[in-house]
Amino acid sequence: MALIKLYAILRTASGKKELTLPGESIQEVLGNICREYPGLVRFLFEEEKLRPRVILTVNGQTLDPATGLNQSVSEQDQIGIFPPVAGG
Amino acid sequence: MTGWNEKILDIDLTTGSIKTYPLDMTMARLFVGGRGLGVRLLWDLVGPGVDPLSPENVLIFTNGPLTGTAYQTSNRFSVSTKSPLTGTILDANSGGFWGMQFKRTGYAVLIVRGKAEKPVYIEIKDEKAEIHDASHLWGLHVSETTSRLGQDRNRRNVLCVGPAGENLSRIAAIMNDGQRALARGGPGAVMGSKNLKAIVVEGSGKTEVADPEQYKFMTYETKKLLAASPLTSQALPEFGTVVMMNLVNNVGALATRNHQHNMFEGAEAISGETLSETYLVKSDACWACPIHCTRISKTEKTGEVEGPEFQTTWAFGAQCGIADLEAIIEANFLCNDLGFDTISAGSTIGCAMELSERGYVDSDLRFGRADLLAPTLEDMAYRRGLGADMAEGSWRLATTYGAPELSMSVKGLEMPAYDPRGMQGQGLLLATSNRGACHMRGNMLGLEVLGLPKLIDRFQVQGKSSYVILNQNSSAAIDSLVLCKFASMGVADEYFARTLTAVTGIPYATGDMIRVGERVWNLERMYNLREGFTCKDDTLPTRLLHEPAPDGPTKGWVVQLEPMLKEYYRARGWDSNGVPTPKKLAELELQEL
Repeated sequence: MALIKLYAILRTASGKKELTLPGESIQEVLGNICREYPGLVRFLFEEEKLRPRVILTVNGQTLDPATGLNQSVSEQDQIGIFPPVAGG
Repeated sequence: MTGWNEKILDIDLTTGSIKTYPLDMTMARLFVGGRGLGVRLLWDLVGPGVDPLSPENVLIFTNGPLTGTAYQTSNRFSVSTKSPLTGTILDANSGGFWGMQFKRTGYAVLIVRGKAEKPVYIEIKDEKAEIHDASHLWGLHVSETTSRLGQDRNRRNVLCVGPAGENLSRIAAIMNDGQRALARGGPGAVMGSKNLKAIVVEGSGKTEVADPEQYKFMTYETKKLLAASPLTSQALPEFGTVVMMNLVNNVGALATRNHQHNMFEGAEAISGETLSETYLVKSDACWACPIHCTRISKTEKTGEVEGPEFQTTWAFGAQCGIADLEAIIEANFLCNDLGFDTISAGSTIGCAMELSERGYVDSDLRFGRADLLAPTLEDMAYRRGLGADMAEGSWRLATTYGAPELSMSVKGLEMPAYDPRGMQGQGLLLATSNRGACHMRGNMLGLEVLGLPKLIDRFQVQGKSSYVILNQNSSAAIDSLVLCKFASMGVADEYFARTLTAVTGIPYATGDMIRVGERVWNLERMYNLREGFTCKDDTLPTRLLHEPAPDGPTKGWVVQLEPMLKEYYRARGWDSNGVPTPKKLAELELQEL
């Protein structure tokens, strides 16, 4: 199972910094996160679509949510999930 | 026209003369205020070859038509001068309350020239300005100076320099409201060179608006948009800018140990999440700002203090190999109280650490030595020992000790946190920035990492220039309004143009605003060319051009600057040497340059 790291408000809402969950694709992993931690749904999804500006990284490479949610996930992968964040 | 105060206050510290005269409203229409107005005036007032620390340099403080109107984030103001660190044109802007109060005095611009014989401070109460003796204040830290001069949140506001500025450190900041900074490029040294300790403002004026109904509507709409955006209503208020630490590290773009590495194993320990769990007391805000990105932190040594921000935490953290958040908060407070630019101070310390580890310098400074941050900053402020060389900034420090390539700077200004080997467009932006390496003159982080407004391939080289140019022009426009760039994370540029129209009565479309930014950018470029800068100065440290990033997802990359630069000059309408063409200048109504 891939390692999933949560950041910012996702940590506060789930009480977790990292987790491991099954999923053959990014989409599946996200679905499993929301099933295990329903409190994260409102931060990640809006009308069943990934919220704009949620940032997904796979092994440090940013994923374009428009095209990358079907990307397959291997056990060695590290997935980073950031809610919309910004800074200077 | 409404919105603007139509007067300039011009003080000559050599002669003691205090004059007022009208603001050229044609100039105001073309350059608006803040950075735009400041750099346009600087073009006329400080010609080529002037020593930035001589009486011939000037300080130009500017506000804008929106300042003090209560439109969201309309608290900011600018200072323009010639930089003692880089020799380029310099503007810096700051938040807090001083800018709003300055607007209330009735002036659009304050010009300070010459040099006082002995330390003085300026007091402006409504339209009356006086020069007072400041011998009793000289040598005091920023907090004490601010308190003694009667700082009172939104009634009376103090701007001053600390020991760093008094001792002409080229990385000295001008501080306002105690803990806010006009930081980059050393404006504090210019103020110190004039024997000017402080400027106090107290005013009762109100800004008139041309179309009150439209202004109220725009303010209401902006409030709704900022409340609806998760960036401005959640991420920034809850975690502050330090929330960027984990993300930038995760993608392998966090400059570490003087840019020797691009990931930091201690990033989590100095992240916004960790700050929230440990030293954070509450958030705070500048005047008229609903975003509340300011951190108020508390340690045993400092008590409750503002900060730290992401760039500061990075500069004293990853750049120095330090994962001690408490030490970083204390360093930030010291920088504010001594009057330093935190990015330049931290990065100069990181440079000194590498010089020391490689044997160029005989010093105890080593990466990871959190215990040496505070004493080193004191040595820099008072020019003691190696601190005297470090006070000159990293480029002069590294050059003095025979290794200029170890200064992570562009045009002499220390680079921010983003390692551009992980963000090619950011590399182009930093190399071409008019005041030296600066992420606040456009920031490709949005496009290349955050997906703001969309995600582009951060490693792609071709096609980056158009994005960089738009970012730079837009950023210059916002600096000329003088609004906070965080407002633009929830609100489109169109809203700012419509608000400016409502306040001034002059129709500005979005394109007009971006044109203001492009005008400012080209004027700054011409200023630097007049000073002798060339396309050869549009570059990056050798490390970033030739040493592949060693870590993680960015491993193996260098910045491929040359092809991006060629494309950039062309897209800007400049010749192949990066000189704006007469056609471009005429298009921007800059033909007289």
